[in-house]
Amino acid sequence: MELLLAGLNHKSGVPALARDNLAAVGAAEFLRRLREAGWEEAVVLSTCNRLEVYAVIEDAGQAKASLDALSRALESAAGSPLAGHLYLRSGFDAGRHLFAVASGLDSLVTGENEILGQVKTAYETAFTTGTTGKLTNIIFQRAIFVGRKARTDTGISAGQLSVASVAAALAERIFGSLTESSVLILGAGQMAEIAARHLLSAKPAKLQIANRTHERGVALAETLHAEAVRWEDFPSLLETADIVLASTGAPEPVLTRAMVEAALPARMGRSLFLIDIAMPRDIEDSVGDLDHVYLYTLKDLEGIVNENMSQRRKEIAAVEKLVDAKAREFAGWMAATRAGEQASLRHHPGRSLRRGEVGKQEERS
Amino acid sequence: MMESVLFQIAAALYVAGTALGFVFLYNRDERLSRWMFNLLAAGVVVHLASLGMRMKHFWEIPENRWYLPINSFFGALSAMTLAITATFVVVEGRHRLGIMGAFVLPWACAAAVGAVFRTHSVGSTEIHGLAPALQSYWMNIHPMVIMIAYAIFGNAFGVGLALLIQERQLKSKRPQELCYRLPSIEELDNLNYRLIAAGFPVLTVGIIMGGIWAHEAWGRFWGWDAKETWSLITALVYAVFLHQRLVAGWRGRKAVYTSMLGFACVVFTFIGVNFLSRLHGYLSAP
Amino acid sequence: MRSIRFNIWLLCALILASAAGTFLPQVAEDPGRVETFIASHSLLGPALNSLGFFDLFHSRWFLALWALMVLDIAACKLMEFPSRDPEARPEDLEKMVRSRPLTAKFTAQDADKAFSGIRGLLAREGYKVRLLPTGTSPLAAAAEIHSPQAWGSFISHASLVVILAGCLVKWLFGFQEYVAAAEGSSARVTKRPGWELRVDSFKVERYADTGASKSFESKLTLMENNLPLTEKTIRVNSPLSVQGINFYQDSWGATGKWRSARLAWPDREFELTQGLPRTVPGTDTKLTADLFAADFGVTPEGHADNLTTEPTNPALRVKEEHRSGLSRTWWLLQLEPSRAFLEDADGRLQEVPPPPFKLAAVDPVLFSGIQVVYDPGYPLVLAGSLAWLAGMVVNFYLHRRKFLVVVIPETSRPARVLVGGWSSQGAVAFKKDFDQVVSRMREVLS
Repeated sequence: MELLLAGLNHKSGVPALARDNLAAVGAAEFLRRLREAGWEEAVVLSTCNRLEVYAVIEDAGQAKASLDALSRALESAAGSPLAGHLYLRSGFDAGRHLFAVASGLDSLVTGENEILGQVKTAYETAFTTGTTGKLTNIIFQRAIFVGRKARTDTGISAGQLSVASVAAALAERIFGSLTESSVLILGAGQMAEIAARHLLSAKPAKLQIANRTHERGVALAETLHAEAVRWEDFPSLLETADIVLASTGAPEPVLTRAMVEAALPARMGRSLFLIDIAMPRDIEDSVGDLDHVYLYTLKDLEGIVNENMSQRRKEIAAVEKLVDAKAREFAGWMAATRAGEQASLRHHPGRSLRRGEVGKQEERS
Repeated sequence: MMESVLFQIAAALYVAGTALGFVFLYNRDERLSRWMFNLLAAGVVVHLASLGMRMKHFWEIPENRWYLPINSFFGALSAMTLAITATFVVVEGRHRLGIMGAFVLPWACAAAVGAVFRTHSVGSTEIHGLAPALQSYWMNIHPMVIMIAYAIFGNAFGVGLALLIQERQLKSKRPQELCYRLPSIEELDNLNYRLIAAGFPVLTVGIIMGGIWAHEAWGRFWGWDAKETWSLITALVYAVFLHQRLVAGWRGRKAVYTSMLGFACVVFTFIGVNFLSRLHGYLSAP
Repeated sequence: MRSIRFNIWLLCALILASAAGTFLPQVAEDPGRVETFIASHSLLGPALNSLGFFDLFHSRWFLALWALMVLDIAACKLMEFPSRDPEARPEDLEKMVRSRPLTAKFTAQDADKAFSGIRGLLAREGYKVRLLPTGTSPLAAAAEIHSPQAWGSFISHASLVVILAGCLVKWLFGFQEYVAAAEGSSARVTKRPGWELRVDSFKVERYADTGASKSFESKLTLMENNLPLTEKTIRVNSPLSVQGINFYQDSWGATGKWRSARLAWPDREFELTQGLPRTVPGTDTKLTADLFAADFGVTPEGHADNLTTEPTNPALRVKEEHRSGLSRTWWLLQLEPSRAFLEDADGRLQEVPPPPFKLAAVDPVLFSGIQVVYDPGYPLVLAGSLAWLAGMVVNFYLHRRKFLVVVIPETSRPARVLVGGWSSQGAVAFKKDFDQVVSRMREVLS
């Protein structure tokens, strides 16, 4: 048995039209076509940034010919030649690539978590279509395990990579769960909306929006199921709002130190988190010096994002090591099974992937 | 002596556990936290064994039956170590706050190491006959209640310290990884308050018990002896904290300073007073 | 005075004053140290003395601080009993509900049925439900559980006043007297004319290794007007109680008198009694022992001194007279036989090699130190302490919860039901239970 891989990703330089065509086919349909073409065991991983076909052949000697067949299948689906754009792997390299992908090493955003779910979905789709077999069952289970291990053992997926999610994460460092917190948004523009949505996902107790043009504030409040308040009222709301996000287009600061100082006594030492993502700045800089007040500007948040990114890049080496080790371990298991030995690589073919993760499939067995 | 050897082993286990707690601050491997708890638990078991030997020895003197062997500096430090460690395991263990190990356990280590130094400086584990005033059933109640309160306050101090660090991290606008692993400021503030709210009645009850015992022994409930006075001062400082928080609504850094001052008073009441008091002093008279 | 700031400042003042009292020497504990301190601090010493800092805990201003604390507690917490919420006007009820820390709202088809259903549910949960007099629109009810919790803080603060009152009672009406009587003799209790304490016997045991007291007890007879009133053997932690007055075994010491002493030579021993000269057999030396010092020391000027009444360093003065006229006055230390002192005519001591005889044993006459205490305030202190504890437990561990239910019937639309919740633990801790009750309310309605 040998694993084959033919695929393309965001680095392959495949023209957009071809990519769209491939995406339009979809994993399930592609698998069906492969099955009709005689492939008994295959899994297709299809995301907006990659399309990879993993297939199994009995005789390793047929690898090159089989890979050519897979390439042609991809080309016909893409509607254009893909020579030179595809990457083709077999055996150990194919397995290692899968582990690396699951660990987020091959992603546009290093260490992103979505790919792990997508690998799972790819396997589930293949299972439903009936194109999984002994090798794919085990290697995909293993890939998901490696992907998880990479994320817990290293910092590859640590740290948020968007300004809004960094702000939300900081808010949680101050308040813990935001379900008791009150959020006030100043401004109703696009940036304000994006950031508001991020904070909303943490389910704050209250979300209020104040915009100079009241109607725009009301409109945004309706889409977010929030409360619109009058612009003039917002200074007094500083007494009760725990998180204030400022994103107006005002040329001068709208939130002054005097306003915050006036509101602090009523807050009685409760923390106040101010996020200023406006350019030019909406909040006076000296506000950050006050006790119990935490002021983060766009620059600060971007700084954290950059730092997180470079931290992730530093982790790449560690994850490479892990992926290598696990790939070798898997190859060793495969060699042992080929020799007929009972191996110690714990697996229950198809079962452990099913339990809880592929929930719908449980009734099927 | 067997008791001394066992105690030193327990102390070493506590120190090792604390070291893991410090490593856990910078290394997110959960196994470190688990092993920290394991080492602490092992330390407690060995400690209890040494305590068992101590009690056996202690009760060889007829006047000491059947009282707790804490009428000496070593005995008190040993008991204090146990109290802090046990409280930590219960409180932080239940809330899965192994990250707090580096903040709370140093006190347990200080007490344990102090006890070991004491055995070296006096050459024994200080098993003495009880003075007549201590030969009372209160001996088994009053000191223990007070030490439990001290242990709770020691925990609160660690939590307060973590809060100050967390605050500093967030104020710096470039929080490090530690910031994301420590509980949030709100959670730390809340835990600090709940610990002190739990410890305060325990301390006060302990002080009252001391007064009742003093009344039985010497006829006066309160004599303004240094230890009595400083335990009252400790209670008053924590009362200030509770008033600040419950009535004035104070939270965050300023409230933490008060609670830390309270723990400074605890340490002084436990140790410093021995240099001042004749009645309560472990160091003044045998 | 009702501000919390004043209260905190007052607490700080008490803290600082109490701390000062532990660092400065106090007359009650060690008058000698006080004198030394005043002498060595020419400016600070007398100044602090005039302000009462050397008897700080009994000084007027310290007691005044506590009195101020009592007034402060009374003014802040005791002026009004915990009372029910003021009745709200019907038009304010909706706003009141919304201002509760936890709120829920839903609709119901039948306003009356919903209202009675919710009331019944709350009653079954243990709440005391009270209809608010609002008529038919809206329908409103207030429910409360564990109401006594509201008294917790009041009781705790009131009990502090009770404790301090107990101290005041002791200060005004109580007394304390230290009576020391030697074995076999008696001493008068001056605070109770006619009473006399006789120490029939006194026994003390000491630990062999440290010499510290192991146990000591006195067999006492209390006499009133020369007639025995009662008798008991008292020891530490086990006092005698008569007519509300307690007799505590406080301490013991040496009176300075002694019954007999044994001097030892390498080959023989010799007993002496106080003041009686005895000739050493086979020699022309006469020995007379007179003074006994329980805790021997030498003053800076070189004189013999008895530092305390505790027999920590027993010493005996022995006059040695030869027929030739040579006479020497020795001070022998029982616990350090290798040291000895010679006293000259002016009483000055000089350390010399010891004589051939050493002080082997002394049987000192001991006195029993008894603390006679009348503390009528103690029951108040005890009751106040228990009440304080009860108040704290009730305040923190009893969870008082309130529900405010408002049902607003609407024409041609389902009635609106508003529920507001409050808990003495705070909204966060109550939320889970609140949500559970609300979902049960919804079940009742459907």
